[in-house]
Amino acid sequence: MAEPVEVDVTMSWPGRHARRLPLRLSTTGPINVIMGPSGVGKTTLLSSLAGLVRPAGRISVGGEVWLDDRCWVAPERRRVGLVPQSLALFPHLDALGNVAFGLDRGERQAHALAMLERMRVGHLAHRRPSTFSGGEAQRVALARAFARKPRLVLLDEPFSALDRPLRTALVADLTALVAELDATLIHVTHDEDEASALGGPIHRL
Amino acid sequence: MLQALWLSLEISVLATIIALGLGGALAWLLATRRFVGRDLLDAAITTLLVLPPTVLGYYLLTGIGPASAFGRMFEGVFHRSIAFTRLGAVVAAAIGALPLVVRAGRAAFETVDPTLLGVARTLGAGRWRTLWSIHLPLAAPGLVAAGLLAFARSLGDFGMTMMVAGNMPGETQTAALFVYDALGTGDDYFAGGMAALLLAIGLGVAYAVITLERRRG
Repeated sequence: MAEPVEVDVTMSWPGRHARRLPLRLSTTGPINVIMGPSGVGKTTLLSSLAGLVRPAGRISVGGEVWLDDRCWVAPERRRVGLVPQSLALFPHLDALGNVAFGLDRGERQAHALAMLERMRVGHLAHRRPSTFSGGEAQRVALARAFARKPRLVLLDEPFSALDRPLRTALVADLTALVAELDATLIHVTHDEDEASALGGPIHRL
Repeated sequence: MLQALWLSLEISVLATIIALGLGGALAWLLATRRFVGRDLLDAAITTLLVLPPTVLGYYLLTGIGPASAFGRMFEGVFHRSIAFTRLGAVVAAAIGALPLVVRAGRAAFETVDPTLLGVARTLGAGRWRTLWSIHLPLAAPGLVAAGLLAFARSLGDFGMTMMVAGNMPGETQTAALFVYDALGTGDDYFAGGMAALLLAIGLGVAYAVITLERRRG
């Protein structure tokens, strides 16, 4: 079931070039696309939801408060899957190590391998990210983000560097995974076609 | 001559371990945390680089010498003193190497992409697991370079070791002090031999550091 996401925060950067950036988002469905010009705060919004920055205001997901005046839930307790624009695959771990990183000890390896195979990159299990192609790296990053069965998946222009056929294939895999794992997706993109292919409402910042 | 060299290596290894432990923790703190007094701590560590070794030695003696509160307490507990012993030489060399470790270590921690650390947190890793599993392994080449620099700095320490540990053959006379003594007594052959050995070790360490930095960058 999709978890409603409510964000009403203001990010402040103090100092000589002080700046305040109000960010608002309200979603109800499982797939949500965020679009907007550069510098409007799309990445900051995802970082706020992931708990990597701590703005002032309020964030709630599925009725549970993650941030307000009195409370702040640490990133490791939020159960979000984040794929940043750089993908941020751990360069010293192989694909299996990357995906297994977020899993509990029990069936860590088996589950990680199953997830890689689900994303059609099982053959990369024992290779390091420096040897991946762009598309392979995206698939491993998605496998890692989804492996923990996250409540919320945050994707920051993950397909921007890929050509159109590969992007179409990945969007299809992504929407299938969101439905299969019952997660809520917040997907930042600049690409109108990608936004329409995902099929969810478009929120413009 | 070999005795002084062996003693120097022993002191340098111990001093490097201490400087890496303490300096590595300070480097991580300065690279990743914002806290009151951060700039002051940074300035204090940098000061260790620019103060004359005799001044550092003076303050170290004031802090851990037999007349100091810490020195008396240490003697009361362990029945031995720090000043004018091998332990004093280790402490002096470690303090001399500390700012190098902090500067190189801080650069090593800061070169790790913060997004990697953030993603590790979203994958359920707390601060400590993120440090052990991601930050430390990725900063490791830089930390090894910091350790090598600390070792070379410890091996070459002269002023502070002389002030804090003295110059006792077999006990606190390190290779650098041996060169000084040998020149003073006209043993040019031994002074030249030890100087050449120290030069070779210094060059080897510098070459290893440069190679590590090239691999990292």
